[in-house]
Amino acid sequence: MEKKTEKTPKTGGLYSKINMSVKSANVMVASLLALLVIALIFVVKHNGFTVKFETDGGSYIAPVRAEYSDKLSPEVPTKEGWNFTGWYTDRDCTESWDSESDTVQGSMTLYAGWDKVE
Amino acid sequence: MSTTALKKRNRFSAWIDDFKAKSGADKRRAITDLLFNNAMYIIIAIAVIYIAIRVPAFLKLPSIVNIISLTAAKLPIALGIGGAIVLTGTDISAGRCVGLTACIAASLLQMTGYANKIFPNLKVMPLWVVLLAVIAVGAVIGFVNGFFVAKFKLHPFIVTLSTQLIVFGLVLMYLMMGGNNGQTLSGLDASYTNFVRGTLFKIGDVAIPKYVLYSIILTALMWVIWNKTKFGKNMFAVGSNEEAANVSGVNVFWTIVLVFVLAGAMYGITGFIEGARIASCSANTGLNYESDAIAACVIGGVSFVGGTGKISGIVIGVFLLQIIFVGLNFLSVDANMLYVIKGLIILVACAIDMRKYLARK
Repeated sequence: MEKKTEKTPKTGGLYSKINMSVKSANVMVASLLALLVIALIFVVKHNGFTVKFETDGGSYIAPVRAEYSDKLSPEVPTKEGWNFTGWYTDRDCTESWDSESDTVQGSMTLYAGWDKVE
Repeated sequence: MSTTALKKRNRFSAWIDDFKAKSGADKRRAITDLLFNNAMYIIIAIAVIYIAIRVPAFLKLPSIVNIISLTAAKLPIALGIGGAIVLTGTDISAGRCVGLTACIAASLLQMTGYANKIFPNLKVMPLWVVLLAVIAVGAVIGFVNGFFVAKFKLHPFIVTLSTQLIVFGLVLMYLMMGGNNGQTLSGLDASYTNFVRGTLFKIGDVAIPKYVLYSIILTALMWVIWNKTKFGKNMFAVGSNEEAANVSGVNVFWTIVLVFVLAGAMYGITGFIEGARIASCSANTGLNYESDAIAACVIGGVSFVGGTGKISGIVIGVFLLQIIFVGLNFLSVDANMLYVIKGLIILVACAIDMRKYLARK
């Protein structure tokens, strides 16, 4: 492997035209690293997921902030002429949200399921 | 295995001996090099320790299995892009290509009788036919990329930017076909979801999905291609010095084309797996997958200098990125903010990569 690289010197690829001393590269890398660390600290300090509630014409339920593995106990919405059947994680209301066992894994929207009053 | 361990130990002790022999100023420089070159790993290690202390569940079995599964899911696309980076290029059409192939796989494997099918009269196709079809679609896109890069010497960034848009247009048009009308594709046939998401085996109560096995097979296959075939050696030769490779008789045109075709085939396989893994494919499927893959490759030591990179590095890179993303999710960091972090990680990883090149020069 060593021999081969000797025979065919690398052209430098994407960096072939860069003309910078190692010292200034150090400064650049160090400041970018500092930026990354600051950003990481910022996002961890400002954590929290947003859970929105879509009631499809029913009463408004305000979004709530939640943390990972929190359980949710949202208010029961009302809609005239309809009975509330529960919260669902999809718009088609096929995957129901069980407030006893399901936990928050990320920001999401819950959709209210409705049954028409006979 | 033992020989690699021995080689590693030798390398380590060689570094120590080398270090001892150095004078004061050289010693300081060797330490700066060590710190800068491994800065990303150090930051990730500190983050993992911090997260594990704050949320002990992070290092419990279910979470580790989750990280390994996510790594397996994101690995094939990174293995494909790795080749393009070895050629000092990149491929930003990868994510959309995964989206297209995922939508094709899902549409051909919807349950019979499911409403809004793209092909209402289509029976469920055999899995291998669909798998070959999506590999072919990926390979064709890869061929287009490779052809324009190799023939017209266009920068891969420009070529793949245009194919990215073209492929996205194709996804949108494809989703409008039949009775689907642009909606999310779901209602997949059980044979498909079982083949991808079924349980491989269980550790305690935690199931390992089958696609982890497929990912391991693909990794082994790529390792053989990169290290044991003539094509692999040609790829590294073209990556480190195209003109020198040409002089020594390497067919540069076909090497470049094949690297992109191989990458495209990998995106096809990723799409096939992804379709069943997320189980609801839309035009958004695959969005920004290439950025994760490029970041993983650069963190794993596949350098934009060209002709440098290892399969093991790519695996480690994907794994480290997934650790960070899963960990930040445990800390309840919103997905919106993760994009900023991802962008910074790519920037830092490339800066470190560039610094390594300058220091060696």
